[in-house]
Amino acid sequence: MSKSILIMDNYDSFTDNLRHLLMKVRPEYSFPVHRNTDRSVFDEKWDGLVISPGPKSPADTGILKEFFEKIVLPEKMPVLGVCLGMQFLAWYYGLAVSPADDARHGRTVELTVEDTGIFKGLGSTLKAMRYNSLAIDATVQEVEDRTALTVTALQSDSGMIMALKHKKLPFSAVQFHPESFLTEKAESMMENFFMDYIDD
Amino acid sequence: MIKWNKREIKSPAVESIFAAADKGRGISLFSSGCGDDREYTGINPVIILTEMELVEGKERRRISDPVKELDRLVESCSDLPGETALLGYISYDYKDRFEEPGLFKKRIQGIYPDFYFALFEHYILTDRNRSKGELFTLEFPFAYESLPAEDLAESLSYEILQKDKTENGSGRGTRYKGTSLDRKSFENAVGKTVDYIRQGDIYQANITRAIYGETEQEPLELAMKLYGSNRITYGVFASIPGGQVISTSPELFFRTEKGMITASPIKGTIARGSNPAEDESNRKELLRSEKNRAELAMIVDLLRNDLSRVCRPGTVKVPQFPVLMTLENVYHLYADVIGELNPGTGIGEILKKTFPGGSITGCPKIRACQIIDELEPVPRGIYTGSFGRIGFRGDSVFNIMIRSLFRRGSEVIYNVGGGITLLSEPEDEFEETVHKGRNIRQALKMNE
Repeated sequence: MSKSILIMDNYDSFTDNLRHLLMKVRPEYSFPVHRNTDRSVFDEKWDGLVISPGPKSPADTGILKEFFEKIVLPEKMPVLGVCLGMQFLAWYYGLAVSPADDARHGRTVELTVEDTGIFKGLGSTLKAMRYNSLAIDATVQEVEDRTALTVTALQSDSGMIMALKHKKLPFSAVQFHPESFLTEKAESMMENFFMDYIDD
Repeated sequence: MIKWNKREIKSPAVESIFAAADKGRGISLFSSGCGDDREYTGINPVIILTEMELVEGKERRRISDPVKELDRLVESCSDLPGETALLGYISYDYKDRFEEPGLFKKRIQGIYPDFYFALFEHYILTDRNRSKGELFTLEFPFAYESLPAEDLAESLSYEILQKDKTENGSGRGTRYKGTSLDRKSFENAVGKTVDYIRQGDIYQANITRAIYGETEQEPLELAMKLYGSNRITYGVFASIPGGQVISTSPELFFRTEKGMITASPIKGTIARGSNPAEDESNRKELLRSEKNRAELAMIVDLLRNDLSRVCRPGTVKVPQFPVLMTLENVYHLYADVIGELNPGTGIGEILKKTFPGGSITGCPKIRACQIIDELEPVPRGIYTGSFGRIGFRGDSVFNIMIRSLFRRGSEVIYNVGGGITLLSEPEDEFEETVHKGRNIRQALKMNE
């Protein structure tokens, strides 16, 4: 069955790369893009939410928090967050997001990934593109102990948190940029996301 | 119906093409013997589309949607030969018209139109060596002021008389009148940009400044000096309402042809070595430089995004990354981004969805433009906008208006800037802007 997945655009410049990646993996679904100021998103029915990357910090995301509380949580709607999208989830669940010592823009890093969620079947390491100045300011243990989230990928050399998922709800998020042309196996990650959370 | 005829012309010199453009309110899109494009020069604009109005000969009509009018105009010219085209530009300041109202500051430089495309009475077409040329003349079915071809012939035999090969042209020079950001304020602006990057607003922004002078030199003299001083792939000489524009741009924004769109962003440059061993070591150093690769990767992802806005899903590709460009004096790194346009996408839609070019804004683009609005005290005008040619068979070429000189009467303006990243040092960035202005400063014979 066809599905309609909302891409909430945080006024970013990679949103259409993300849209094309998703459309390539699920050409039969629709992926309308609405900016985070567009209240018409409350009037429509969605099968999932993709939160785009974007400038500034998780608090500067327009109606995203309201949409998350009024629609996503009550409906247990599947969510895929990218970069600022992941930082938003972390921030929503009470973690600090702060300027990182290891800010990188346009550089690929090696990830060490868990064989679960969007990374299922993709091996233990992956090359992925980073564009972020801010990072989650917590250890893996703190995330586990203090939130309903769990860490599913780390940057191999620095231990920076690179992916999260919710322990019970269908929320998955990445700090790196799957929509970049230099990230490996992005289509497989999206395939896993759809199979786990969206497809009938 | 517009009628047309074609004549062969003998090897027109570049200065005579510029002279004809100068005299006939023309636009010349040229190269300095490089690039793959034929050179197009339009003389005597008959149909002119600006942000305010559509002029057809002696008739003028106010318009409300220039982009829609542009598509309509292109459509109405579909019977014209492929050797004719609309030539014109969009200024950087026009960007706010392509976005949500209120997102960008309304900035108006007020010297030239912000949106300007014209269909001309005459088109001079030359190959890049100018060994031969063709002259196309259009005949319009309404009242307009014609420039007889005989007058054009006179311009085409023009030579700069006071040519002095031993000295740098005439004795006339240019008086420095100031800059929009002096050393201290520019370094301050760079510092603020780095802060914005650190706090997560942007990954990169291009910060620029304007330099003003008052010149005694004629436009043609300046154009010829600049022509000789640079490798120019996407050059412009234009005489437009407000004054003259001379660009020595090496940078393509995008081109479209046969349903495909291509952008080829360049980042990273290193000098060729003076001997083979040094040359090889310089080449390797450029290919290894992580900073250059990171900046190129960012602009490639940004252009992939912007092309995706008008391309069929799954068709936007980067065939090779990075690619080494080998020139006489330097090596550059670049990459092609190629996509298949959505069927029926007009040039208006393409410009609306992709303008301004990502290499002169920064990323994410919207926030970067807002920061530029905040930190640059004066509007950029045509600088970092795009000049181009719109053919009538879905073909088009647009440049990035950098390394350009703008002239109004005796007043001249040029702009210099650079991409600021997390690792930028304010002092170095200012020096870099001084370095980048060297050719134009020398042509003007001005000390900043």
